[in-house]
Amino acid sequence: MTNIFTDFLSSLSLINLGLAFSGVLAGIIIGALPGLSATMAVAILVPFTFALEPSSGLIVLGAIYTGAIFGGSWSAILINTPGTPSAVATTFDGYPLAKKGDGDLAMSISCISSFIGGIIGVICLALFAPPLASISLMFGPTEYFWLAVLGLTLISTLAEGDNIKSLIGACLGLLLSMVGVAVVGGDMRMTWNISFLNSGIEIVSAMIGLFCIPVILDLTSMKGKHLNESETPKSLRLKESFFLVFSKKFQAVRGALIGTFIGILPGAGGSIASIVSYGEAKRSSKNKDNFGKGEPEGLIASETANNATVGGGFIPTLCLGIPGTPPDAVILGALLVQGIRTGDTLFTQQSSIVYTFIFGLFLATIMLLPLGLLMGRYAYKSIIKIPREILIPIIIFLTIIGSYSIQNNILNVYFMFFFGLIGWILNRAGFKASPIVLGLVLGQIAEQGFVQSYIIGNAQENIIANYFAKPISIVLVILILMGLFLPTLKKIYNKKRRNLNDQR
Amino acid sequence: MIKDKVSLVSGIILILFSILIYYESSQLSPFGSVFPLAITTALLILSLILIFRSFKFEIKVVNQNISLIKIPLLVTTFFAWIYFIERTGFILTSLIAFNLLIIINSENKILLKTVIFYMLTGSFFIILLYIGFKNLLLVPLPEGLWFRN
Repeated sequence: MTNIFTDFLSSLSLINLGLAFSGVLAGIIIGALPGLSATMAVAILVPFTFALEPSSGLIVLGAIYTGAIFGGSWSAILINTPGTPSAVATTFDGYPLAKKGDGDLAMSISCISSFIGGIIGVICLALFAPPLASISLMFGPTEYFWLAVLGLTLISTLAEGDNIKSLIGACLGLLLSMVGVAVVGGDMRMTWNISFLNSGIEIVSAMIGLFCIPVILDLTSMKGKHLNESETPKSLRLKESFFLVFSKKFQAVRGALIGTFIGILPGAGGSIASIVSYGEAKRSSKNKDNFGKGEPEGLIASETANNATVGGGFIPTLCLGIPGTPPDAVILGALLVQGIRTGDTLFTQQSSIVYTFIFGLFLATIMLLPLGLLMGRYAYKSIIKIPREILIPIIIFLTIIGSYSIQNNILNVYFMFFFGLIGWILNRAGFKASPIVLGLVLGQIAEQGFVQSYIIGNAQENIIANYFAKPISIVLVILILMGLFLPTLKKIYNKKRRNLNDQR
Repeated sequence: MIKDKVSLVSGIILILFSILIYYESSQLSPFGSVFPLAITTALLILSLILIFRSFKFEIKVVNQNISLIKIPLLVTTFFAWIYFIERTGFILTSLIAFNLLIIINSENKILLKTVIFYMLTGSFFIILLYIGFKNLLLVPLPEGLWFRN
């Protein structure tokens, strides 16, 4: 206990506080720029941490990660483009809120929700890391496959618009994820003899194109203001935001727990977590019909979950040496360079480093609240004030520089442009970008799980049982079926009931 | 009677696309082809549902009107921006394309003075971000043929 208290005090040193503060600040800015992901933010700054004490280095990396995941919500709310893939679900209600003139409210709700999610994730990391890590070992290839399918069916049935078209979008995204070398088997697929495609389609450049360019083209044709102004432009709308989040405290905690749980599963990450949390919020909400039209509850669900994956993702990283999310993989590399060996013994033999890091992460999440609220307010005010004539070139400039800096390759910019035009045409035909992007993000997890299960099932001479007879798989399949058919069955039931009432 | 032409056309294009990918995937090894074949089959079924549904009812898609002058101009400038980045350098191409886009997007009623102000502010923003990306984030942005050392 005394040791933990000493670790807490050491995390409060001026250097650590300064590092956490600058890490959160840098993370928010990088995460808010479309194209610069949390992984990139962490990777860029890893070399700088080698000169620091191991715990201080870890604190700064954790703070950047926390800030970047939250920063991703800004562009999702303000320009309908998720800064990071985990903010895809934030666009569903964040952007409609901003369009209605409640962008400041959306920014504040997103910050408070991210703070709650982040704190709960870190608490779970501090208190339950070793037992929770064992959960990730219960997930085999089949469970990963069904989890990815669950994410895809949820986004298809939850996103605004046509469900069939959303499911088609998810299939298109999955097909796009197959371009390049096959994850199992090593075949070269759908490359059409273009050598750049051998390494697959870069998710972030496709995401920028699919989300950003339709917005740019619509802004160009638009008459009048791009975002409506709030009726109370001088306030942070803090009271209202806190009240809204507090009135949905149960949903916020549930979102954070979903985020932590999914964060524990290696590779799953914030994108599935926020979608599952959003789906659960919509399913249980009294305001189901408002989801997708600017419902704060949807924003709370998405943002609590994606920030909770930060703490959740560190659980398998620290306990098992298996990174929960891509930024965790970079941080794991930094840990190894610092000479820290992950595993069960980390919490006993090198506990001071781990607990200083956990407390540092806790402090960084606390700093996120004032920083995010203040900076978010100014970001919103700036976007509102920027005239459309200059906003469009700025967004285009960010899409170009963002997609170029992914691999320092101009072909990524061409791809972004190409995907953007395709996305715009698809959007006009009623196919939304979010299922396509999620299909692209989850494609490899889904394929790996599917093919490995197929191989195992084939070896056991019972493919069907391997897919459907495991307890976790059964639960996931039931959730998928519920997600697919429950809304339609409910509609039919309600229609029949109305007809019966009319006849009476 | 067709009730949803967009869905019908989309469905037909998607079926052709699925057949193409299915054929391409069938040439691969069993491990490499199992997932693409499963997904193209799902896509084929969903496309058939879309076509079948287009005869029954229409799900309306609300779209914004397209500006037939601005959009082609914007798309061309956007493409030219990307095309010339490696040739004339990032900073020069960006300054030209950025300011051109300001002119394209300016409404007739805007004063020339305001447009010039936007151009100066925009140019400053570009230079600032260029410096930030190049020096802080260490992104090697193209210098172009003219400015190469």
